[in-house]
Amino acid sequence: MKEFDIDGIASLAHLEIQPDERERLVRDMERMIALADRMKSERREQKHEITHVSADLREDDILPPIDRDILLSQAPESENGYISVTRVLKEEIERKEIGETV
Amino acid sequence: MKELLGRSLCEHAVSLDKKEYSSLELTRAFLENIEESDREIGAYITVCAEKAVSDAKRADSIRKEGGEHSALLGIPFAAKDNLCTKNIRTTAASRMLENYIPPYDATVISRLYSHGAVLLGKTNMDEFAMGSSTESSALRTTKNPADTSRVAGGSSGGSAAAVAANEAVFSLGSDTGGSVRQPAAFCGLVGLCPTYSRVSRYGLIAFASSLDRVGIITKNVRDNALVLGAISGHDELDATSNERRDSFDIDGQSDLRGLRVGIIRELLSAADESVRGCIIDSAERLKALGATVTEVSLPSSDEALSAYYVISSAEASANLARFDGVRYGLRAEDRNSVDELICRSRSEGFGDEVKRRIMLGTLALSKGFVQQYYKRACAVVQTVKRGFSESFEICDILLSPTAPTVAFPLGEERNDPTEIYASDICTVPSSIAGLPAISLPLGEDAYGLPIGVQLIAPEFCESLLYKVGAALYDGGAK
Repeated sequence: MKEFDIDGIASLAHLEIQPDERERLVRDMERMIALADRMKSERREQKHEITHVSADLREDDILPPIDRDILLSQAPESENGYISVTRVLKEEIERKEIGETV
Repeated sequence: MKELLGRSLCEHAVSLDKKEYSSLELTRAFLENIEESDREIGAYITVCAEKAVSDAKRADSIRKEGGEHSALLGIPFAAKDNLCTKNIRTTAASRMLENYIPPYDATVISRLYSHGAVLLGKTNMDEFAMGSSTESSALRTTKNPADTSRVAGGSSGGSAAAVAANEAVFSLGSDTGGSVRQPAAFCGLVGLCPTYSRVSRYGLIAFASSLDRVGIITKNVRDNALVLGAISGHDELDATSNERRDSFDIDGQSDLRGLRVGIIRELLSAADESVRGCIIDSAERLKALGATVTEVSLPSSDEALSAYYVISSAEASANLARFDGVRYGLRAEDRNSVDELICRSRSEGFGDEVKRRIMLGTLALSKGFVQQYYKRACAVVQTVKRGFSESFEICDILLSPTAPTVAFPLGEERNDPTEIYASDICTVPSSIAGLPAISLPLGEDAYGLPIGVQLIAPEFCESLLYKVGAALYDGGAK
């Protein structure tokens, strides 16, 4: 079985691994990979095609959108018609304020 | 009224038309039974009693006006909680969506509404449809009405339990690797997984987009055909939905002369003794009805299981990327950056099985692994499809167990998460090939636990499944 970087995969998957779950998760992943390894190795690459799907495009008709207030009602935090999240540029702004090159 | 709750959809439709009782009386009787039984059975996550009563009243008014109407008018049903229902909580049995209220209906839901069917509530499932026992639900436990110490199967366990416990006339589930057929088998019901693209997936919370299908769980074959007629057909909102518009009439003929049936050798040998015995008995019944039965081989069935878990996990890792705590769903409290907001929300919102599959899927698509896993799995899919095509050159329909065993005990300790994956061996090959398949409750083991027999047909041949199913299963004659 090829070695894998559990932290690298977790980072790609945007998941946090707690210290007390690491060992179990590595073991579980090894077992799942062992299942995947049961596919025979002498296989020519082939495309995975979903049949019966056409590539027809629809007309550019303007349809009424879902009401913004309804969508915002599902947002965990919102303000003045926007979804609020943790500040993205906080570190950049702080660095600029103390004169560092951004 | 309670004694009438076990009747089929067709029986209810006839009685409603004859005004033996009203849809309102029937709906209230189901709601009362849910109130009484569901604390124990745990089929439902959300019961929408007020809406159900209002819709039942409307159905009665429509019926009173006279004129043509659907057989589904006023019939109470349940829907798996990964089907979006406007203004009705839809959770996918996950903490991530515990309080999510969709602003739209899934197409299958709106089509059933247009037929006048009455939604009783949303049923329990494995979280994000990932599982084979409904035990990974973050919200409640579902028990098998046939034996409450056992699982109802998964991932559509709640949908199956609701029908089996007379808490709904029929239910909708979703089937990615067997998640309608297996719970139907475990609970003694008929479960259809239609051809991929037969039924719109718009509004079905996606697990694996190339494998997901909306399926139907009923007490008999005829009911199943009625529901498929109502929900199938092209949908502009689902680019993968097929243009075909077929009807699924069952003519009640039980003459199967000329029918060529193939028992899949590898799937039969994967089953335990009681299940194998039921398949052999079913083969004898088919012969008695005039069919010829031979054995066929699907040597890639073991690889099919591996390929299924690689492809479904890979697609799940992409589909579940949208759950990030930003626009909807659970948002973690403790975070110092957007990255932490996303990672912590996902880590708190998802259960262990979902996280495992996202991790496997992410690995299968990552540099250094994609060739070995994802692309190889795609090649296996083509091999499995070829295997089925070759079998359908000499057979019209294929026969196998739906699951290798009967329902297993609830709460079994499993140190290896892949142990339970092996129970999908019988359903996964037809899943990855996109073929339609039905599970029929054709036997019981020595303890009275239901055994499901699976029929697999070529693509878009659901009518053949229904014809043979109705001939085999007496319940289909009602």
